[in-house]
Amino acid sequence: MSSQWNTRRLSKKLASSLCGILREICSKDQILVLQPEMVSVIGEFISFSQLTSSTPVRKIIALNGQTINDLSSILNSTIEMEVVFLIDVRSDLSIPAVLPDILDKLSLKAVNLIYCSWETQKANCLVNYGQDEGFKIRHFIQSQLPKEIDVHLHRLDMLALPQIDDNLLIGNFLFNSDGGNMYSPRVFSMQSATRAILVDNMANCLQSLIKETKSIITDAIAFGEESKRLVHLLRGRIEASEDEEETFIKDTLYGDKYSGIEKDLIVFERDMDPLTPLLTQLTYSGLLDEIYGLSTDGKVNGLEDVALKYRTDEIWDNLKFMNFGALGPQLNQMAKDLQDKYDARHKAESVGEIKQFVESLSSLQAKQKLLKVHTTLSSNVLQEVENNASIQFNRILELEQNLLLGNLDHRSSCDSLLELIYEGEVSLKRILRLICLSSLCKYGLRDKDYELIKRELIDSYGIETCFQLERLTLSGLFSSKSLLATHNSAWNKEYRYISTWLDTLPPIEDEATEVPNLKSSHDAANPRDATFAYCGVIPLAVRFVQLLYDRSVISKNYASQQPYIISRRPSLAKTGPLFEQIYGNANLVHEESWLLDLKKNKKRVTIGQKDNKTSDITIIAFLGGVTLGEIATLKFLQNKLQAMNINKRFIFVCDGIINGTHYIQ
Amino acid sequence: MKIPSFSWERLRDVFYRSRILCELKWPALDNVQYAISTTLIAIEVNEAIEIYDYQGELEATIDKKQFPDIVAFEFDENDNLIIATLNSIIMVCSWRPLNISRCVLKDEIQDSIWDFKCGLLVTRQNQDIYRYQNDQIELICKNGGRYTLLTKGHWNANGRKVVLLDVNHVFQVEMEDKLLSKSLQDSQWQNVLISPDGLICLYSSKFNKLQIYRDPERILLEHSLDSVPKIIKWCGNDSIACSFTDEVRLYGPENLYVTFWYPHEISALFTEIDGLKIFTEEDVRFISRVSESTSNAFRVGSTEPAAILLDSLDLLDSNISRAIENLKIINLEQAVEDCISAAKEEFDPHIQKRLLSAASFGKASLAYKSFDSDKFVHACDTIRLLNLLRGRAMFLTTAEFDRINLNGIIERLLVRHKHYHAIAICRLTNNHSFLPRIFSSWATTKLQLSPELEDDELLSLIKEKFFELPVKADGHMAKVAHAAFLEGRFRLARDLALLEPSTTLKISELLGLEDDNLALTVSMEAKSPELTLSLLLSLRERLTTTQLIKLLMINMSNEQLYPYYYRRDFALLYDYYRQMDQYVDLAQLLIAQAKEQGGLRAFLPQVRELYGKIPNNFLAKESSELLLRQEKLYTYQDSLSSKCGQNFVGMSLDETICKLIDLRQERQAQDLIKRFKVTDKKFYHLKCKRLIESKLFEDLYEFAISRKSPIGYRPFYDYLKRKGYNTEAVHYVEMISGISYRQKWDLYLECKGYYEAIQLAGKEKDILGLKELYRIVPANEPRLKAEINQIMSKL
Repeated sequence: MSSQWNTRRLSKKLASSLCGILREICSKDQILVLQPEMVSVIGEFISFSQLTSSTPVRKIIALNGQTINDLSSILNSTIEMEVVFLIDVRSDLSIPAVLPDILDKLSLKAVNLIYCSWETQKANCLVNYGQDEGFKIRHFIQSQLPKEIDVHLHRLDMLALPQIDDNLLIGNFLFNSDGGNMYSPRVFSMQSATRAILVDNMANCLQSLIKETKSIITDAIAFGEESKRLVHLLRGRIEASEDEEETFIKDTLYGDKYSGIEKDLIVFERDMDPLTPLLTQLTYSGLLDEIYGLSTDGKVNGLEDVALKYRTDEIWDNLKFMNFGALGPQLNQMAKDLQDKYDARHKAESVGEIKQFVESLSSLQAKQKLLKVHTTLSSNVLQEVENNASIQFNRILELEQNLLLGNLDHRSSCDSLLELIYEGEVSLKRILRLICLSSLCKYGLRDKDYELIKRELIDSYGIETCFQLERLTLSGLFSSKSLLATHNSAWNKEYRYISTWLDTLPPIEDEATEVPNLKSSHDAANPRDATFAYCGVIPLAVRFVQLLYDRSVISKNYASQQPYIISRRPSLAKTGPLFEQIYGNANLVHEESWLLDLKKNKKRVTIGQKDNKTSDITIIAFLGGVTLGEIATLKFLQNKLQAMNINKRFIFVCDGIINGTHYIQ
Repeated sequence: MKIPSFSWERLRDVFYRSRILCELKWPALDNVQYAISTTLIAIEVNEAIEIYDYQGELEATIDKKQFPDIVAFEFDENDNLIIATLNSIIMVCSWRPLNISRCVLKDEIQDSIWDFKCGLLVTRQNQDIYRYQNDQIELICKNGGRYTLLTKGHWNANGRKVVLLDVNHVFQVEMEDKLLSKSLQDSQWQNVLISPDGLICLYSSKFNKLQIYRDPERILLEHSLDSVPKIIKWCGNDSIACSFTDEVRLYGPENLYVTFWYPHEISALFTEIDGLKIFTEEDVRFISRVSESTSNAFRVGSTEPAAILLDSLDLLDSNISRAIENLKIINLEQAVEDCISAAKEEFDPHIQKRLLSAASFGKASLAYKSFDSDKFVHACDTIRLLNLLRGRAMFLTTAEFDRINLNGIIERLLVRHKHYHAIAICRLTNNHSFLPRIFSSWATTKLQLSPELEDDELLSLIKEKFFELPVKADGHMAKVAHAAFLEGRFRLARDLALLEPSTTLKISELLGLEDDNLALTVSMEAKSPELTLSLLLSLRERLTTTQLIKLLMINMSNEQLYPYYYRRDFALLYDYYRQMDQYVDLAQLLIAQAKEQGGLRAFLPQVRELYGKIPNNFLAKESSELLLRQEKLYTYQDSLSSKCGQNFVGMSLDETICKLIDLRQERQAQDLIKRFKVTDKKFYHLKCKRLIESKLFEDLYEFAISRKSPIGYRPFYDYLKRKGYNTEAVHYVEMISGISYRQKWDLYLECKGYYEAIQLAGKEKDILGLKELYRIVPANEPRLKAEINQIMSKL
């Protein structure tokens, strides 16, 4: 059992299993037809040139309406080639609509189809049983394919891959091919189904990871209903799949004699904190995402030549989770360092020193190139932030901050929002984000404000907005006081109470109103608390994770009596009333130990103390997407806990990255 | 103690020995047809085929009435009885109740079966060769007049090749490539035998001689016999045995042979992989080669390490020092290994024990790392198991056991319904993985053989045993459930299916019982939407739409997986939502459809009606009011379109107002505002923007001063400034109320209204400000600078 995860190995493993499948299909030359959504995902673990050099794949084309022409021209012109399709229907369930059509027209006898799934997916065995006469159910992909063609199904076992950061594993199943969010789909009534699919995928994702790394989870904490379901499901599946050897290992490590190795699983879902994604992100990566849209493979929308790869780009890796305000000085320092290194050549006297310098020249040049990319990028961002009227960055940021701090009463917040609507400069999504924020902070708008805003929005943006707003109301984001009686809301209190209890808005002297990204560099580079990712507010996820290990947070303003102050094992002990007050339901959070039950009259004795250098792994899984800002602040928390001698390594596993724009759709 | 080597016979440098396995009365009938396997004997008697174990216990009687025209029968490598009749091959899968699988020779072959050996059959007319495998008959070789087989002895086969003795030549067929080749030209033989390893022995009754070869080019051995043998068989792979009335001779090269005499007449011989079984009238014996390790240990006068180790063990009591000293002079590891493998060869527990003790003694002096003790442990396990099996009428040598392996043993016991023995073997070998298989076999048999028991009794019996199982494996309970289903016990089958640990198999079994409801519920419990969907799609093929919807309504009214899967299929969703009374979704569906077709308007009344159907829903009420307002807007837009001769339809309210402003239809705009209760503020914003857009700055100013603006004048300034109309923006700074002097000053500077800024500063008597202005004002504006100087001088 490895106590430290090498997440980059996951990518390699996935690449080799894909190559293995392709080589196994046949040794003839192949044409790989990719579902468009797969293109960027595949790029994350194998490059197309690698694919063509190490497998029989010779051509790669995308699966769309055009495919049939491309395919038939290739098939007609060159020597015999085998067609292999690669699709991912983990969240769609239905195969791409063009596929049956293409299969029909190609009139091939046999076709190979690789589909993405999980090693632990229950439905997988249907493919094998399918051969059996007496077996009554066919795999759902087989049912969707035309019966006349012999389609060989090959399963590609997916794994969550590190993207953007080594500790951020993204499963890429939050959005289906229509771009619909599986956690909160456009059609509200489908939510139960899509969430079930999401939870199943997440459970499989986590189980595959745990299996791959041969880990044993000791404690599991769930925040939210779906999270509870997930934890329950995952535990059931893991326990059902354990063989004798694994039980033995578990018993040896965690039986009466406790080895002291901790591995925590924390599951957090979006409904617990609907507020954070609505806010403007202020970290470097967050801001890029906010302004341009940052895809998980490091591409920035609208900027063709930029691809931010954390593995090769050291500067990006260091700066991505920093407040944008701290970027300038950091880049400046790097430029200075670089200059110093260049200048070192003047001091070089001996031939040896000159040789050394010449050898380092290529790395210096590469660094210079990177530095140039980032300075250009950040100056572009700055340009947008300061001058783009359709973003109105500073004004909105100020409004956000005032709403959060409760500086505006019902009337003035309504007026500010209306003003934005009337001016019509800012996009509808941006306005909706603010309206939802206001509704959340105030625990429902006043009825007349609510009606007025709703009407004004429809008048300005058309009747379709009505249905969009309806959807927001159903997910509890946009509500009036009287609607709250019948429709549930995200939480049960005004935000100011929550922020006080959890201390999410720590007072910042002298710069409370100042726009954070213009703060002095010293502060922004070394923040005291995790306020740097948003306008001075700490995401709830950070506080919730923190209170599992460190209770000083809520002992400050909520209740000074806590069962402990710091603890290496996560615990929710005596937090019921807090969650009861916030969400109206103390059972929304749940903790369980996954260790075997002790025999009667036995006490667990810890043997062997772990040394403090190595850190325990804590898997933080997010259902319904996570923002880059939350990741940044949680990473900050990790370091803060380490300073208190609670050595944890947070590994984030999420279904997808979201930002305000995705979230509000 | 017995000296094992006393009964050995030497054939050149190899010893052979014959050991008695057990007593067995062979039926004193002439020309009886029989088949022998490693553990079983089948004999054709009168009306039946009787199957016995080696100790003569009758295991099964198979009535011949079902297959009256038996051509031949034999056991396959898994001890399943295979019966060849004139037109079919029958495999007996289970003896009690009799369960057979019949594979009929295809009609188009137009021939019947003549002979059957080693899974191969030869047809009567054409003498084509077919293979029976996996319940299928497959052509191996077509004769086409190339050869003629005179008797059934003129051909033989093992798993890999067939040898055909034609009248004139010897042919050989390799199974792998199915090619017929002539191996011996012009040579006449009457009988052929192939050893398990592929050595071929030909016998000519004319010259009464044997010839052995592996490669036809190189004859290994030729032997003329003194008298005509009764039976010729291979003894393992290394010598050919001929039986005469009461003796068996093994032939080696150079005309050498050894003879074993028996007190009774020999009835049958059976070749094993490592020897030969002799069935006399009274007992069963086993002739085998003495392995080298055994020979090393027990050969008279042996000075091999194993023999010395055995000696040392004996010396241990009397002369310890010598015993220890002995260990030092021999290759101890070799000695231990020889003793272990010799122990595995022996049948007699005393000798086994002696050899193992010696091995254990020797092993103790070996370095812990250089010798793998597991070998010893495994040997002990195997010996213990084989001894146990000998007590259960299965006489296996180690080599035979390695071929059959534990799984084979268990299967053989299960066919005989010896479940208890099977479990005992699992316990002994500490191998629990076979228990589920034993359980399902037991339960199936129980079901089949207990027609008198009620469902409930059977269920509780089976359940009890099921819960006792220490390991649960997928699929076994499903088999039992299926057996119950085949017995016509549907309720029991369902109850049993529910106990199956594998969800997929459980569901499949329930579907077989047509209990769709339960199948669906079970699949939902697995919380795997992919599985549930697979089930639904399979159900869809079998059920009508109404049946399926009903099923969904009962089981999945909250889980909308089905509509999610069909989310792109409007027609299906429409039906579905209507039947499920999901009005909101129906409304949403209409809207989505409308968007696709580009005309929302036609659908709105319908949508509103649907919203109206939802009782006690505040949100729906609200929406339907807003929809009504929209409909009114559409009507109003219609009338506007006809009035103004412009198209207003499909615009939002704001756009309509803007257009009216553009068209300068002030009165219409006011009317619209009144009717739809548009706020003043909004109107001001809209009008302000529109006028700036059309660059009607004078109108804008007039509009601004016509009455006090409800939105103040800052937006005027902002809009102008943003569009870059600085000179216009300057006019409105003065009007902005509620901001300080300094802010105004900044605003002026922003839009380069230097003159106004100067005036303002002058009014405020702000000398510092003026000085700063002096600095800011561009150099090409001397007039402004002069103005500043003038004002400053005044102050």
